[in-house]
Amino acid sequence: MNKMALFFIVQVILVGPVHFAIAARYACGPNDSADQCLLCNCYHEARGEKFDGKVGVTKVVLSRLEAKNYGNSICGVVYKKYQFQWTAMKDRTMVVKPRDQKSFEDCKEAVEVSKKEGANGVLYFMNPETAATGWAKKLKKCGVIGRHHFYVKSGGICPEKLGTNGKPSKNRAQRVAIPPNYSSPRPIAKPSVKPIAIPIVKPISNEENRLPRKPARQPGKGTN
Amino acid sequence: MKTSFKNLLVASSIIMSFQSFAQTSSPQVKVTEQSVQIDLPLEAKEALKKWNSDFSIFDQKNYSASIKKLVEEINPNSAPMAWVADFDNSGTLDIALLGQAKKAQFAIALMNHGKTWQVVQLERWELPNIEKTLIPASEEGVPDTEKGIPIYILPAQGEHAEKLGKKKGIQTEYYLGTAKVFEVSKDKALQVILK
Repeated sequence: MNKMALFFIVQVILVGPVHFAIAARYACGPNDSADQCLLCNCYHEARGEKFDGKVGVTKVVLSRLEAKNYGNSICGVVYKKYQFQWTAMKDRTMVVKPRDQKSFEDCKEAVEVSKKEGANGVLYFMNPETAATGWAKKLKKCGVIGRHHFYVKSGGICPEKLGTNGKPSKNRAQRVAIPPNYSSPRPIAKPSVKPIAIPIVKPISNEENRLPRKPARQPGKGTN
Repeated sequence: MKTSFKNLLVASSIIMSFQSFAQTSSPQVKVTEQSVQIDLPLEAKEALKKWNSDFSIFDQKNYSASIKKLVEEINPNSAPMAWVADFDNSGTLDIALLGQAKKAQFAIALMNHGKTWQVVQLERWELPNIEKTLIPASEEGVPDTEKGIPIYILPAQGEHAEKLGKKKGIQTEYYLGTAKVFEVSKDKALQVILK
């Protein structure tokens, strides 16, 4: 067999499992816990954004729950049809590659911070890179964080800060209209997230193990 | 003098007959205060029937006043469910349509190739009782009372329109919800995302 082809096959056998195994996968669905729904929404909608952008997106869900016309639970709001683009995808799995790990951790923190600070009244956001929505003309723009433009209804009041305001609500009741099944505050990832098992192919012989390994990629900053 | 008048008459009749021919081979959307009339060439109707015989174009009366007003403001003389333009910059007028077939709703582009037409599916929704969808009020303090079809078509806006140049992007929107921009190229729909 051609030496190059043999080398390539050995590389795939040795490095492939390392490459795929380090991408953690977390399922997302409407029957998840409230925390998990917020995390999935944050990760899918705002993983390329800075921390404030993640909080801004998460607070939109909380504000919609408070407004009551968008669903009667956190997951109901997130998975309401044709509201958040990613929920219409066939595969809603969160694939957390090493370079996205920090963004994933930031989303977990953004969920906790948003829950502590509560809804801010901002009901809509859009990303003009996907589409400059016509309906935005009907609303009042509150500002921009990263790629997202945030809106309240016409005549509504914009919050002082779209992201984190550093002011945790003292009264739990003032934070969010928390439905009975709201599962807070507890760690998000470990109890509620079920990593999908990924088969790891082991090296087939000691001989191939002696060949040089490609170094694994180092975790970096968030995507996009 | 008489001869030149005759020539003028002949020329104008030729122009009128040519216009008449052009009208029958191009789609038209006529918008009045009360209704929207969509005229499709026979070949376009046949292509549509061949694609999905159950497909029916949405009726203007099933749209809420808010959405009709929004579309009118952005794209005058157009309708929420139909827009005529040369999407692929081929020199012929095409038409984008929104409608329903059985349980699903579709956004399609009918592409004009002269004597033949091609249906290109842009997007698909599944909204039961779509005409009864509650349309959120866009003003603070106003209760949500309007009902109607929440999806509509617009021309691509802003940077998307600039990026597509002479082509016309088709933007599909769910009122106060998701939106996408499509480019039709070689009878295929491609979502346009700026990066």
